[in-house]
Amino acid sequence: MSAPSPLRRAGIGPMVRILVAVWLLALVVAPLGALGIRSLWSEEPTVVSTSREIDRIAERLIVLRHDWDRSTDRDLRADLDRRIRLLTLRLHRLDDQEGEAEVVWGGENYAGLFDAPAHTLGAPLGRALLAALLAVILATPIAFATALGGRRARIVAALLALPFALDALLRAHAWMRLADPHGALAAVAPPGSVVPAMIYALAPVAILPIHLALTRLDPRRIEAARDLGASTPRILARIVLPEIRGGLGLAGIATFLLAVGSTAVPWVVDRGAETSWLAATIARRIATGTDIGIAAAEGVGLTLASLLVAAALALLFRLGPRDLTRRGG
Amino acid sequence: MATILGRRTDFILNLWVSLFVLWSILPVAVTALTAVGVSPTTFAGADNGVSLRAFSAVFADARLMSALFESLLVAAAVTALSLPLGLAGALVVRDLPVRGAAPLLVLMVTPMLLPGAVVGLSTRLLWQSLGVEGGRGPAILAETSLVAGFVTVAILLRLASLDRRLEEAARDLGAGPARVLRRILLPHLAPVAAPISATAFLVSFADHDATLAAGGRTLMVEIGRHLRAGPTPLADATVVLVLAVTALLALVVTRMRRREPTPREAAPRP
Repeated sequence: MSAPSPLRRAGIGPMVRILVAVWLLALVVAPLGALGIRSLWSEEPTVVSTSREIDRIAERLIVLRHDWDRSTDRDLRADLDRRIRLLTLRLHRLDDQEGEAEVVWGGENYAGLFDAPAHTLGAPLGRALLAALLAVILATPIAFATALGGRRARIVAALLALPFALDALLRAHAWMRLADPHGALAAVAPPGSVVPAMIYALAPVAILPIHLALTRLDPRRIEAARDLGASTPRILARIVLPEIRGGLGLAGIATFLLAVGSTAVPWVVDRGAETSWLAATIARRIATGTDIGIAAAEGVGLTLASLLVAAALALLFRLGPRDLTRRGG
Repeated sequence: MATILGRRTDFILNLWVSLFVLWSILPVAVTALTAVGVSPTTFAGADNGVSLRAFSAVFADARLMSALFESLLVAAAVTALSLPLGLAGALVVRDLPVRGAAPLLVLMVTPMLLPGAVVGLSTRLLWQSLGVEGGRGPAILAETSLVAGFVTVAILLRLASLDRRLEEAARDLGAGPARVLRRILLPHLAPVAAPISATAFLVSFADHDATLAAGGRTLMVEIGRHLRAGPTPLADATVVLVLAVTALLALVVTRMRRREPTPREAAPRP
């Protein structure tokens, strides 16, 4: 690609650039900004004393009405009438106030994350990493079978086409059918554990990057190495592994990010019970409409932590722009 | 080529692949069996017999059917929004020097890297602060932010095979940007238009996490609600039906991909 001339750059038309600016601002930057801001305030119910006051007045009204029923004196009844009216008015005013809440700014919502970071953040990140690692290990030989061509590749692809057409949510359900207490595999895969279901849901994602990396491998290099007397482990370590390093890294990062961010799979697996899968906890808070501030703070924490882990994986596998752009040939 | 890695390695590989295929298909097969009322452990019919009752129950379920309609509506809106955004994004990124293009591209695909619940919640919170409650609108926008980045990348990959000299020549001959877009860029993108649109539609249709968090009530959200309630024949039948339809659509999309001309055919180089 040649260096673009200023003339060409001017030629796009400003409309296109405005469109892109609106997109990135309205759909990416502003929502994330709103999330960050929302994570910094919480609603405190105005005062507990309000509801206590309401209870006190309600009790007093019961007593006054009781007195009114019993009394026969006109003047006393008029006096009671007046007091009941005043107290009722006061009660209505307090009732209106009770629904209101005071906005309190601060890092209160992050308290849960900082109090037990190993539990709230560490556990889901660790489990997602484990699921990603196992999915990649499972998927690598499959990528060999599909990438190295021949009749076998076509058979494997045809056999895998059907279950792979399922979305993660539906795959998780199918997995639960197998691992259900009344299901076929209850003894082997205990129900309620998210990691096996996650591996089952995400294995298809892991295959593609490794498959693409393997299609770039020139089979003649392996043949040449074998002719020169190299053993299979040596060929795998010296020729195949360096070639698919980038593919393995991409597969790991993709499965990890999908696993750590999944709401659907943990929800289907534990049937709405509590899990320590943070993305599911966030979705549950949104569904109930309470603790939205905490959900926002957890969202910020989960996002930053998972991107940090993904960046560490990219460094570990020495992923560069080359691995993302280089195509099979 | 089957023995490229040696006989023993090949045996292990075959075994591994067989087990993986079995592991992949078994849960789906069990789901399909329970959907028609057959016990997967004994292969005996359930108490109320083998039937396709669960399948007709899916079509009789008013909530599922209205959710299906909602899904089609949302996916159509997301596709209609993300195609022009993706095209604009690809044009801008392509004409920037790499140093400027990389961060812009990263920003465009950022929503794809975030947890779906975070994408949905942040979109919902933004529009809530502007007075719009969670629902169809925020769901469409949240899904669009997921899909538009993907469309950008797909269009960029296709534009890479376009000879830039064609555009330069057109511009030298006095064509304006709109004309270059209409006469050169769009015809070059035409072969991938159908598969990209279909994929955008499918991604939107299949999204659960972001849509749920944004307050959308699409088919996937409704199915998720059913699945969380516990394994029922209705849930099984829904899974089997969605599987059949997605497999069919995926087949159509791959066929479309296969028919698209290679870069060499599309832009002959001297």
